[in-house]
Formats: sequence, C-alpha cells, structure tokens
Amino acid sequence: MTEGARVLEARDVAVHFPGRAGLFGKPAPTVKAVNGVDLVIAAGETVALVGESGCGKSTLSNAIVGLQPPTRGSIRIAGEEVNGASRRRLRAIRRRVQMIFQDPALSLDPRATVGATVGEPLLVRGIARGAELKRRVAELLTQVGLRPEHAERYPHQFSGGQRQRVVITRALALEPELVICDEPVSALDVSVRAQILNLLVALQRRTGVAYLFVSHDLSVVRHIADRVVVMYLGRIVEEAGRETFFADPKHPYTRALMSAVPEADPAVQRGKMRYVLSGELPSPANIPPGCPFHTRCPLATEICLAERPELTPRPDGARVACHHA
Amino acid sequence: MTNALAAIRRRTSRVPVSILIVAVIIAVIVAAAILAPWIAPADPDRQALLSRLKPPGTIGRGGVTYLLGTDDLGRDLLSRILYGARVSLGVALLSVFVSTLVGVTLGMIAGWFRGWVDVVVMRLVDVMLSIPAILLAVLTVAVLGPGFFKLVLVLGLTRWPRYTRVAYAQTLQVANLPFIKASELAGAGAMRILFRHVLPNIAGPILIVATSEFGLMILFEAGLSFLGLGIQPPASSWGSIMSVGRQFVERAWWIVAFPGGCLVLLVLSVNVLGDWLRDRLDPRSRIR
Repeated sequence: MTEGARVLEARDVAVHFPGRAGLFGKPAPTVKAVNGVDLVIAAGETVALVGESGCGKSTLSNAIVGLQPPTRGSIRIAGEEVNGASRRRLRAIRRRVQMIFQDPALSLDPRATVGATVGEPLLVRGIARGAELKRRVAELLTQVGLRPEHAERYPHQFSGGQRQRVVITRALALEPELVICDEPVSALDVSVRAQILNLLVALQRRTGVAYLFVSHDLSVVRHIADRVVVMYLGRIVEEAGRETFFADPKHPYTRALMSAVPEADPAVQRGKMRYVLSGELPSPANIPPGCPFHTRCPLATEICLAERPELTPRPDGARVACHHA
Repeated sequence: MTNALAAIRRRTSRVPVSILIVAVIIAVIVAAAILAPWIAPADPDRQALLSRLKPPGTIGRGGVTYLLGTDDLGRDLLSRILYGARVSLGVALLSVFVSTLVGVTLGMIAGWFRGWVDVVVMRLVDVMLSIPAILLAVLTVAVLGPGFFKLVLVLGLTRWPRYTRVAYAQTLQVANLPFIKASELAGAGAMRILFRHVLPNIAGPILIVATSEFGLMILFEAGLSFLGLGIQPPASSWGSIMSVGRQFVERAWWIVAFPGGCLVLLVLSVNVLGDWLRDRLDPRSRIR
C-alpha cells in the first residue's frame, strides 16, 4: 500500500457527546460514541465495518464525511484533513467522499424529481447545467440500470430497490474516491439485496471507488468485503482480511457474532460451537474499565478488568485487541 | 346549458365537486370585490335618513330597490358589502402574505442554524405570543395612525410568530432526514437547502396555518375597525358593518347577517380549499 493510494487515513479518532446538565440534578455523563479509532482504506478497496447497534459505526461514518466534527484525532481523505477544515475546504473534500444511507425512502427528497436529485451535485458545483446536465443525468441513470425517462418521476413512484439505485447514482455523480455505505441493503427486501450488492461491486470495478461498508449482516459482508473491521463500544477490537476473518475469527466478540449466523448445512449448524453473549451492550456513556468487553466475555479473567488490551498484530495478518485470543 | 355543464365537468373530473363549489364561491366573492364600482347598485356612502333600517327588498323613495336592506344611516347594504369586501379581502390577503414571509423565513433560519439565532428568534416569538395580539395592534396603530396599509403592516408584523413556530418545528424535523444530509454532502449551500428542500417539505402545515389565519385576519380587521383603529368611516369593511349593526340586531338583523354570512362562507371556503391544496401539493398523494 503506497502513501498516495490511501483514500482514507483515520488516526485516533474520537467522538464524544458531552452530557447536558439538566435544569436540576447533575449533568449527564459524556457519551463516548467513538473512542480512538485507527482506520486506513486503500483506493478501490472495500472495508466492512461490523458491530452491534450503538457501537459507534454510524457516528464514525458521519465523522469521516464531516457531518460530525470529531473530538480528537485526524481524518484524512486522499491526504486532506477533515477535522477542523473550513466550510469551504470541507465542501471541496466532499467531492471525494460521499455517502449512501440506510433507508432509501428517507434519502430522497419526496418533492424533488429523481433527475433533480441526481443532478444536484453536478449543478451546485457548476459542473453541468441545462441540456448538458440532463444528458449527464440520463447517462448516470443508465449506468445503474434505470432509464433516462425515470428522471422526470418522483421517488414515491419507485420500488425500494430502484430508490436505492437512485441514491447510489447521486453518490457516484461526482466520481468520488470513497463512498460510505451505511447499511445500504438492510432496509431492502431480501430479493433485491443481491441485485444492489452486485451493482455496487460492478460500479467499483468500473470506477475504482473504495467502499466503507457499514453493516451488521455478516453474510452481506462476506459477499462484498476485502477486509473486515469489528467495532465494540467505540473501539476496533478485530481487523483482518476477509479470508482470515471468516476462517479464523479470534476475538471472543467476533466469534459470538459469527456463531449467531445460521449455517445452510444442518449438520454444520448442529456441530457448531455456540457463543452466546450474556447481558446487554453497556452504555457508551459508562464504558467498563479495563477491556470494554469483559462484562460479557466468556474468557474474561482478572487482567481484563484491570488493563485494556491494545490492538496487536497476529502472524496471519489479523489485528486483535484481546488478552486471551 | 346541461351540455355545457357536462363538458366543464369532464375537464375537471379529477377535482371533487365540493372543491369546485368552494372555488366558485371564492371566485364570486373575489370578482365582486374587484368589480364593486361597476356592479354596486348605489353609492355605498350616500345616506338617506328617511330610509333607515329598511328590511331587504324594500323599494325606497325614487324607486330604488334595497335588495339587502339599509343600515342605520339609510345606506344601501348590498353596496356597502361589495365595497367592504375589497377592504376585508385586501387586508387579510396582504397581511397573511407579510406574516408568512416574515414568520416562515425566521422559523426556517432558527431551525436550521440553531445556536444563538435559535435562542434569539424563538424567545422573541415567546415574547410576541405572550402579549395579547389585539393590545399590540392597538398600541402600534396608536403610534402609526390608522389606514389600510398600516393595518396590513400591523397585522402582518404581529401575527408572524405562529408561522415561525410551525416552520421551526417542521424544519427541525426535516433537517435531520438523510436527504438533507445528502444535499449537504452534494455541496448545496444553506439557502439552497432551505428553499429547495426544506420549504417544499414543510409547505403543507404552513398552508394550513395560513388559511386559518386568513379567516382570523378578517376578524381582526373587523375588531380594529370597530375600535376605530382600522378602516375609517365612511369607508366600510365587513367587520365595520357588523360592528355598527350589532347595536341594531334586534330591529335590523340583516345588517349583521349578510356580511356575517359572507364572512362565514369565505372563511370556510378558504379553509376547505387550503386543506385540499395541501394534499394536492404532496406528490405522494397525487393520483396518476
């Protein structure tokens, strides 16, 4: 991986939400949604970000596109610093990083035609207008399997899968180098998920875009990711290439996630070791001392209560934050 | 005649009958207001003290027919209502326009930028709403003096907080939706997002406020005119006609009943039309 080929380089990113004091009573504790994350994505790579709801996936995504200023750390998109960037710089940086949201029904302005939505990035950045804009929009729509005449229609006239195609078109209109996909298929019918995933893969082959693919669905991750990153309570606990990750999951949390995915073969399913997590995800406002996972970990010992394990490299290239794995 | 009606009906088949009726009522009232100088049977200010408080249909001296009767000074009520419509409609329309413009702009800005702008605007709204509107209007007129445009200004600049509250709450809701974030990521500026994406999506509730305010504005104008702070006699508005007629309601019901009836009909029609327009403006509910 050469220096110039990194589309994202995040170092020690933290996003804390200070608790607001009530009218009476003491102030609420600070919510530490993201708590020191390092993440590098190479050009054309697909990195999956996995974790339970509330682990900081979405907050991290928002921080990367500059919608949520980080409390500390550095986020570089193609070498340009996002943290502390002026409004103007941020606007320029966002040409290179775009986002696809979870619910396509809410990601499109119900009062704007699909053509206006897809053309907006080109229009407001002065890239195309008038007849030229119309031509570009038609071209973009064709690329994702829609027809040029769809530009005249409103979002409610499309199915969920078609809407997500429109959302993808808008995200790719500026030819970004990185697209954050925040659970792009979890709101869709199972029957159209594969179509959308295949479309994302095909577009990546054509344009060389890198994806940060946020998901909690490991079967989707297996289908699309080159590398997998697991987050727990605002920190990365495991990071590995896809093959290594699925063949040899190391962190007890990752294993628990894996064992929750049902196997197609009943014999395999019966023979599978089940890791069942006890208890709830602790609140990010009150993160346990030591290893944040010790409250639910089957392997936890005294050291886990006292000392937080660092992310350390393993012989097969994986990096894991655990004293025992 | 039946054929002509059927032809019109075919062309407007997408519009429900009730809306057609309501639209015709509004059109007739607006046309009557505009055409008042040509269609009024008499001079609205000419007094005939011998023909005071005559009931509708009376044929007066010199063969004049008082179609809707006369008021306490013997003036033709129909003519006064026709001329009064100009003032009532004019004041209501213009003041609703002014307050919508001011209120919605402030509400959207407060809801979008948050921070100190939010605090300043919304506290100002609270202050405005805690002062009785009529008192504020009286004070303002007392300073500025009465008159048509001053009335518009007073009503417009005292009634905006309701629009601000609605626009503010709606903007807060819409601003967090992914499509607004997507626009921001696309590179759209605050003004473009507010007017191209937020405003069309909050227009429905604002339209409802505006139509209900429209009726209130007519009543406010009536109230101010009654207090002598609105339209100055002998010029008439529906409100001032009714205010005067109130004293004679036992002997001459028509002075209150006819302008009141017009008022009810107009306000009701505007509300029904506004309701329908709101649904109609929403592309999701458009039937194709």
